[in-house]
Amino acid sequence: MSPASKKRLNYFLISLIVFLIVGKFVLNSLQGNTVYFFSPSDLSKLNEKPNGLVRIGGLVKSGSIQEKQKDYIYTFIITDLTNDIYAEYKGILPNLFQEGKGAVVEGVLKDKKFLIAEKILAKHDENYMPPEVAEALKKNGTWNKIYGK
Amino acid sequence: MLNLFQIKKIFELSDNFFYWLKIIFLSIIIFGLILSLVISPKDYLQGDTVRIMYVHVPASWLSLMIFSAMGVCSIVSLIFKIRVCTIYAKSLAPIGFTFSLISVFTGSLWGQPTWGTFWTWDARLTSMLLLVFFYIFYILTWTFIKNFFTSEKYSSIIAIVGLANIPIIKFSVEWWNTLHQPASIKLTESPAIHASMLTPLLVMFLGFGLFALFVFLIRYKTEILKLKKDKLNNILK
Amino acid sequence: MELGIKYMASNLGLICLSLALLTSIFLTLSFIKHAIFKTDLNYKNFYFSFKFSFFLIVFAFIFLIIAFIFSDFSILAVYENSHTDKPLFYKISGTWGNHEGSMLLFILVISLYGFLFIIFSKNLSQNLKSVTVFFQSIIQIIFLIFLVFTSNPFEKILPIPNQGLGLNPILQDPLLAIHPPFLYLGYVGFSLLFSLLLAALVTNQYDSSWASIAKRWIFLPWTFLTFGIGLGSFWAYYELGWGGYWFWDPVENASLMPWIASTALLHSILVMEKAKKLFNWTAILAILTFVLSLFGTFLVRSGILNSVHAFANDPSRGFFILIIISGLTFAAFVIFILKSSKEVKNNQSYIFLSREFSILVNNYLLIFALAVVIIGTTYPIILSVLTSESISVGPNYYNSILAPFVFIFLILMAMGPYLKWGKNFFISIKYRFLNILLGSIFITAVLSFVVQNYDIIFWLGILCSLYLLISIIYEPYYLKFNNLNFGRLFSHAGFGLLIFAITLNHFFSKEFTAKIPIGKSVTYENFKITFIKSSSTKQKNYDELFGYYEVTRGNSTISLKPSIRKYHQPEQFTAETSIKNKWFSDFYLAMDYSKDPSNGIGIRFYFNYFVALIWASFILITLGGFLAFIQRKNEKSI
Repeated sequence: MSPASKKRLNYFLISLIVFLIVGKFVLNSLQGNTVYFFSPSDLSKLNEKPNGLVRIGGLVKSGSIQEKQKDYIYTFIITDLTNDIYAEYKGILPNLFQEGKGAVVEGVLKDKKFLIAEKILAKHDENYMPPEVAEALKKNGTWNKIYGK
Repeated sequence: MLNLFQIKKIFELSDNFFYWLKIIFLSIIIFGLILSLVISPKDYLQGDTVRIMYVHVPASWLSLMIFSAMGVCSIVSLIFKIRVCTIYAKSLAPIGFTFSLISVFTGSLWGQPTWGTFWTWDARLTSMLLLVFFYIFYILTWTFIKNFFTSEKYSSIIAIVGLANIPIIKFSVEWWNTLHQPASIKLTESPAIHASMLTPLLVMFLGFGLFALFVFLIRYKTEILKLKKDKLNNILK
Repeated sequence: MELGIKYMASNLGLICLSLALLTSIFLTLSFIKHAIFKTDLNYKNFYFSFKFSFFLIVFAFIFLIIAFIFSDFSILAVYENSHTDKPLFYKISGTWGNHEGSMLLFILVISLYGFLFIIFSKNLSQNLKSVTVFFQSIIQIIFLIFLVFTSNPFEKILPIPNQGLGLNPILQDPLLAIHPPFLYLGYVGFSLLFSLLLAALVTNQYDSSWASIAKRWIFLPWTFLTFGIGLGSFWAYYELGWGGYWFWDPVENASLMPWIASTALLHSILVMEKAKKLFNWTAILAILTFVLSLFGTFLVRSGILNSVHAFANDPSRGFFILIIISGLTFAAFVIFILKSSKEVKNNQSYIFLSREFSILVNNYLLIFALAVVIIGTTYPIILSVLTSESISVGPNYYNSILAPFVFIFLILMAMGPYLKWGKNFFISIKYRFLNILLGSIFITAVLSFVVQNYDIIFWLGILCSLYLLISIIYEPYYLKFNNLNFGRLFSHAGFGLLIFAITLNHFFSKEFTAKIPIGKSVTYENFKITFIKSSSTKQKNYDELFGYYEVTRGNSTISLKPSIRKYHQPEQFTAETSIKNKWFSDFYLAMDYSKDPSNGIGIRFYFNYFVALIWASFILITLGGFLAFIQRKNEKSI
């Protein structure tokens, strides 16, 4: 093996190892920090409940928000008009969060029907509907003209 | 077998050898076709469309294998400057390209009756399309860059970069469809395939493989002749 | 009279645009003729016609502004994005607040850089200069065609509506209104560098003297880009009401990606200039920077971030940008591959202890950071295109991956400038490194003892940023105030300060939420927040609810007055945060809307440390870029 070949081989091996380690590192971190999004219907189709953080988007069912006055613990129902998910949230509900409006809730699933919410996401578009929710409703066929185009 | 690929040996192969290769290839393919089109049973869900599999799957396997081989050859040729490897890769490229095209086309023919669409931007299909593009880029580099050493460099880089795509194609079904609804797209070759279907598949694969080898030998010979014409044949030593 | 101007403006604007397109095509064709048939080219006329097209685009832009000012609703873009009730300032800023107008601004910046290049490069060889202008005008033509045929800003609507639609309250913010032009002056500016690179490759003038010419055309857009990113961050802090200054949002990442690439570029071009190495690498970075700028435009403009399906349904915008990106990338790489092979093999071996090596390693780290950001930004998009999964990548992904590398990066940033180009001897620099290191370890130890924080990340962050800062403060003494490179000193100091401030902010900021009825107060650690009273006003299109709060910490009391606006059309809330700065800390209060304030209003309170330092460091970095741009001539290699 010529010295030049040896040098190229070393370069190649080192860069391959660095690449693999870095790639592994990035992928692990990516896997650990991605949050999957489900609509209530998606969830009902799954066989097992997903572990880790998930986001659930849908409409806040009218009349479902209940407050336990003492500790700011709220319970409510997220629905896409075919399936419901019960959610519990401790904290202050943001102003964007209203009954009959769209919301995305992030948290850990206790079981397939019950979400312990950690965060309520306030991001939404002009139609007052988070894009994920709009898409989930459209996919579900329960998208209504009143929500916009 | 290995010394078959030595530059001197390749010219000693008589037409007789190619003749027998052709005969074996043809008989295996005909046997395979009879097995797959007539003898093998219909799928209980898909009916006769399942027979597309006997062309689709071997072609896909071969296109992946050939690209992997090209990638490995390119690494070797870049690092050790063993130019024969470059020639291997260069001769393999159009064969793999053809198989990848066959794979994509039969796949979409298969997709129409089973999923109801010719094409969808699914992870597997997209990464397979990417493979086709890598083949195209590889071949185009050789076509458009006249200087042998320059095009060797860039085509090898393309092959090595494309090598990263191979595991993505292979595992795309496992990595990304885990959360997918069960009813949706599933292109993976079923592990629980019945022997009556597996046999024709393997026979067809063997036939396709022999065909690839046959074309490769011819192309390899041609490439060396081309180098001789350009007075570059001393680089192979 | 007014009516006449109104309708004239839209027609004249379109005429100007078409003329600009024709002029650019004409000058490109005349150049091609010159190149193929070796005919003489009248350079004066050639440059003049480029300048002419620039002025036409300027006029088109002015006409669009006029149309917005006079609310000419016969133009679709005005109808959709303006309203007679809008204040004048937002009418003007509305010009580039929508897709069509912002693409016009995009083209204006492309043209502007070409114009500046013609004016400011008098000493350049005609060959290089004319080819650069040729490539710049090709880019201009591509985008003009895109503008005129897919997103014409002067498109008419019939019958003419009486009132416009757009009064989106979120967009009515002074910072948000002025920061797109700065971002565009930044990343669209890299188009000129791209043209300059292609020109140098084509004319075989790609060498170290090219690097000295091209340098200033990196510094200028880089400065603007840095400033634009800083403004964006500032806006997010003050307007969004979430207490943070950087959210790793895809829109933010879109401007960060070209910034990282161009930062790597402006370092590697120094190596190319001074040490005559990294030629190919610099060329790749230059192409990458411009491509990432376009990619950022694609992300923001195509609407793919909101919804992949909306994008797929109306692909005209995004799809064409995607084609332009791939076309330009492909063309650039083909030229690069065909031309760079002729370049003489330069000595590519590196000495471990040299300035070029430290820059090279820093370049690798920057590329790594870039890859991390690109993956984090595009992975959710690709996934939602390929599968129907919808995911989001949390900020933790970026923070946890990038943090360890930032520390190495800072150390290299501090050490690199003390090394000479070429070979160095470790003995001669050993004590300097060691002294500074000991000094910064001492300060870090004292600091961590004072604040009682012994977290390893905290330690490393403070240590490495202090190491950089002390090195920079020490450097003028070391050089005895000769040949100071103020540009680098300022921008490196800014970056050190930035990491310093971010570390402190990360570890000491507090946040909490509560619901307080009127007259009551809430205690959290050593803060006591009292809700004194509330008042509400009704404006033309929104109701505003003000809250009066007092925050007591120790024996100092600060009164804060946040408010929340409820807009009617479209129904939307915007929070007006109230931020009071005290020494290095910010009291930051945002409140929620409530129909019945006496029942209690939710608030979010953030106690942020050192945010002011973050803004200061942004200014320092920008200043550094600006100084590098103007100081370029008298700088000598040291």
